[in-house]
Amino acid sequence: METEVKKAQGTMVSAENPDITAPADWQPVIMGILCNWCSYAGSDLTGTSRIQYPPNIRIIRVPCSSRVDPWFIIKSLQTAADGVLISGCHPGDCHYISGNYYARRRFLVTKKLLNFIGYHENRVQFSWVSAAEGPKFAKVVAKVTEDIKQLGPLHRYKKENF
Amino acid sequence: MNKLTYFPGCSAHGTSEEFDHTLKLVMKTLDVQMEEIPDWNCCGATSAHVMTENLALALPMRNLVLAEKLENKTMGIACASCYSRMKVTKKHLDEHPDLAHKINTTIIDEGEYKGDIDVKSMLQYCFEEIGPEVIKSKVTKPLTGLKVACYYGCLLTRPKDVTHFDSPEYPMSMDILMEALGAKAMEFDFKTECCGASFSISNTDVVESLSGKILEVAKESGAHMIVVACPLCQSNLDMRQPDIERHTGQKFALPVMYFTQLMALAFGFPEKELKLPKHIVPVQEALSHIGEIEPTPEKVKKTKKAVEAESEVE
Amino acid sequence: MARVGVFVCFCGANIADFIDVPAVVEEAKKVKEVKVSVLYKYMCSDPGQQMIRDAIIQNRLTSVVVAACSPRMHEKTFRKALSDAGMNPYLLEVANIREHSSWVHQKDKKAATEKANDLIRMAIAKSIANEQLHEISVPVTKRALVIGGGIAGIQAALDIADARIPVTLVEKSPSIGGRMAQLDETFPTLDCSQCILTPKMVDVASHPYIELIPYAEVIELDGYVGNYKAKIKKKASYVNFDTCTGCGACTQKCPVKVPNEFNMNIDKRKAIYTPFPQAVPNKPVIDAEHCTMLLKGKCGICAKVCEKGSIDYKMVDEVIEREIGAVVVATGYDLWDPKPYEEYGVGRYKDIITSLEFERMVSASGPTNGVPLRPSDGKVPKNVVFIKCIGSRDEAKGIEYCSKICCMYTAKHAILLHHKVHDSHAYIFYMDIRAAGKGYEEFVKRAQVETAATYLRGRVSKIYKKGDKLMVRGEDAQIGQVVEVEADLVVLATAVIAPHENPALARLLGISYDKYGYLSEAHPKLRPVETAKAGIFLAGCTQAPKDIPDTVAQASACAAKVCGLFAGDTLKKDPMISTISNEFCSGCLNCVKVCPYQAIVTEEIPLGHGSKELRTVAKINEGVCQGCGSCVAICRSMAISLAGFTDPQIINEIVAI
Repeated sequence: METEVKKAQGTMVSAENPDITAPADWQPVIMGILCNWCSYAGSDLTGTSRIQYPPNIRIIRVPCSSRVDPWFIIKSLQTAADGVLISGCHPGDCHYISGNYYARRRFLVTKKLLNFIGYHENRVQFSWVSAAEGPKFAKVVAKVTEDIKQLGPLHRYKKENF
Repeated sequence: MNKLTYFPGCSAHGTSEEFDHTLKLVMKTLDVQMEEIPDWNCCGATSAHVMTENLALALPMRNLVLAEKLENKTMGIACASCYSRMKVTKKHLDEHPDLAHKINTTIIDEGEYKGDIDVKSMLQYCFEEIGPEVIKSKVTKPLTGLKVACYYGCLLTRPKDVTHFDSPEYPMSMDILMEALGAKAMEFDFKTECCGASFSISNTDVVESLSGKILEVAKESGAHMIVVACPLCQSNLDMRQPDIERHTGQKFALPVMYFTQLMALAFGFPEKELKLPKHIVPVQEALSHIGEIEPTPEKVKKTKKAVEAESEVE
Repeated sequence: MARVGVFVCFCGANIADFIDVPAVVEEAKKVKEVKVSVLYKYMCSDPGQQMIRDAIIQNRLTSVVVAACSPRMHEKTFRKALSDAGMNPYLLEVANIREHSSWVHQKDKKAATEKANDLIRMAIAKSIANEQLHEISVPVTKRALVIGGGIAGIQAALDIADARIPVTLVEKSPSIGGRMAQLDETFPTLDCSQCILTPKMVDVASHPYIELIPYAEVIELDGYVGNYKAKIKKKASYVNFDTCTGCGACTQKCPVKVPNEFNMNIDKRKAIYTPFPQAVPNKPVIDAEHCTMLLKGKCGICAKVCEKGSIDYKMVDEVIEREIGAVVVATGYDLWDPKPYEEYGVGRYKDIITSLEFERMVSASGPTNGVPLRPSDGKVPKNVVFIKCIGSRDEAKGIEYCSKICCMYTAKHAILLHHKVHDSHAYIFYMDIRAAGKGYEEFVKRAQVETAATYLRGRVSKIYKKGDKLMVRGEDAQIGQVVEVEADLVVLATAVIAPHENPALARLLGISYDKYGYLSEAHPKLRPVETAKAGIFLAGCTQAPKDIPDTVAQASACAAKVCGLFAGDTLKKDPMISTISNEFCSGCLNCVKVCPYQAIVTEEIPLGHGSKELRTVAKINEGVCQGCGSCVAICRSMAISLAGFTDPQIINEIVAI
């Protein structure tokens, strides 16, 4: 009931905690952790192709999606990020032979844990983007950004904090 | 006593009466109780699926639904074309579960499609469910001396992904059944070539050329007759034979019999039960070869040891 | 206290037009570790780099952040700038504000600027946790192992050995030569295959830098680039090669006849045999599966006739070990079994043969002395139908890919048929003629003109017997009609397939293979010779179907790669690899399971300081580790750290926003 009232007032409300709200022009921060060989190269291609996407994502480069420790995801959500995107090579195309398969399994478990402790499942997303898929990277970022916007802020609105 | 749901198809009650009749005789001998689907309808055959896909699936589906009500595990189909339509429909329905519901509105709704019945051609049923061993045990009058060319036509084994029966290009099941009856199945390359099928009516030239080729190769194989399991193949090869002979100047004199007719004969049924007068190419001459003993070429019998030694030492 | 320098690049207008660069420079100054923050038009240019070098020295910087294009573009350039200023190059971080900001948010300068600020803050935070890293030196054993003695293996071995690098060449069969030895003449020049191959085979045998181990297989490979250990199983030949003179008396007198694989089973060989007259080494071996002496203890004729007493029925398999630095895999190809073509009567008609059977027949040294004969009655065929793409480009029955060589060798067969049987006629059913290559199209033309071969575009749907002829029925798509050809002999151009041993070999070597069994190159375009595993290279058809020129070229490329690898006394390696702290390692060995390179081994260390009891810990093999970081993420004790991407570095990045 309270949520509806706040929505009516044009504020963004967190899907997890109705007490956390932000103004309607609020923009989420998304942490993108990309593997060096496929997805990071793909995101570079998005750039060289001048394909535009929402500016909410902040990208961290890791050698392989299998380097992503669940700790990074949780830490991101605890600090500034409202959502996390992990992206690796397509299954079978891993530069390190099989790393992305480990990443995928680890990610599923992490996601279950996050769900269990109360995060909405769309907060953290996983995708395969190859070095040739510049347009796909833009699409993925746009979708994730939109999804996170729907979920509302995860943290108290920053301006109050600072 | 095995129970079998039976779908005769329209030809079994007309042009291929001899197939239907002998099939019932041999099934009785083999202790199989056939239960004809009450109120079965046309499978749609060639006409339906060139017109509308929905109808081509609806017609066989109604039969499948009716068959499922009889609670037998297997449905046997006499006609190859009906068999193909049922199998194709079943594959579609099994792969797309929502399709059955959608199609149910096309014709009279007979109930839910469950997909729990196994559809087999009668040849497939004889080969897989009964087996050549059992069939051999029922033979009282072996067909020794009779040389046959087994012709399967295009639909009994094809498409492979639909029928899952025998080889799509060079099947052997009927050959094995014929050998079980004591006949000799000849090497025959045109086992699965097209006979022209329903062009028999609209474009007779095509059938004459295609069926003519089959007859030519069958004759070349040294067979006394062609054995079939499909009413349309039988009708094309038998009925069009005199015309083909007249147009090409070749003389075939190859009777075309159903495998069930030969089974009935080998099981000891009198010739009148085979309904031979229904055939256009006379059968008697070919049947007279039964009992002939082929002169075996002189062979020096080698001892087992000598054969073994030859393979190793020269 | 860290002292960070931030260098923001305009990249001409590429960055400056869409990001408020001066504001970004000022924002960076707000981070307390930042001692200098400047901008320049082109940071990658010489003056730009000079700016960085000067700033490092003047401000005694401890790390450097360059905010410019993608690190995949200029990371190396800027690392060199750091090196030149006397700073460890790995203290550099690049903030990618071009590909990740200015180019993708061109309509929102404010958001792009904010994002650039964040990216720079992240890079600053990460750089503070950067450590000095040094390239790793790995010792190298200068000996190459070549697996497979066909033309690919022969060429690679000769080229490497000519560079005075020792080579061990292992061949599965009793002689080197491979498929090429089976060929009669080769396209597009009609060079006699044996004439150009046998001198090379002899060179291999006599080369001072080549150790030839025939009738043997590699059964184990341990180690890493520059430092492999291979175990090679030498199959018992039952003939002492040291004393055998190769006189051939044993073969002549051997009473056991066995189908001859070299001649595609058209004729017979003996149980003690050399595969073909020009075999290298030209020493016989006993085929243990067929020798009656070895099977039943009866016969022994070869031992009786051998004047040198070289026959040893008690010989056993022997395993030998070699230390090597690099491996060239050249296991060649097999041919697809056309059995699924039941509509052709394959298996039922003797007069349907494969191309390699035809090749053996037209070979002057072949089982029919160079004349093609019908297997059914031994008559010389007049009308020969060649059918291409048997199994190739056939998703229903065979494989999807094009076998590449069939168009050319079928044209060659038409010419050879014409040469051997003058009044013959060749009919060739084809789908497309793929004759890309030097002199190839001309060669096909030659077959069409010189031999008047009838090229029929279309598939064959049926082959049936008529008398003693085979009727081949197919489509001639160019006239839109079904045609029938009365053939005496039908030759099927069966698909080239990967050797069936390839998957097992790939697992043994630790390299990957594709769905067809071909061994996988590291990159299909830019690294076609290397595998993903450093120090293992691919030559010839083991990687994909190829003709002889391509195979030889790839083999020579392998040799160049091996020589390059061995050029120095040590190998230089990127330092961004994992290390394990013994103190934290609990020995669970989960890292061993996830490592795609088997780079983690176990080690026994004392339980405590000075303790006699031991405990197991994991240890990274520096030479093998490629730095993926799988082990870091799986380690529960946080004992593993990946240089360049440590936990503190990444966490710093995360919390910097």
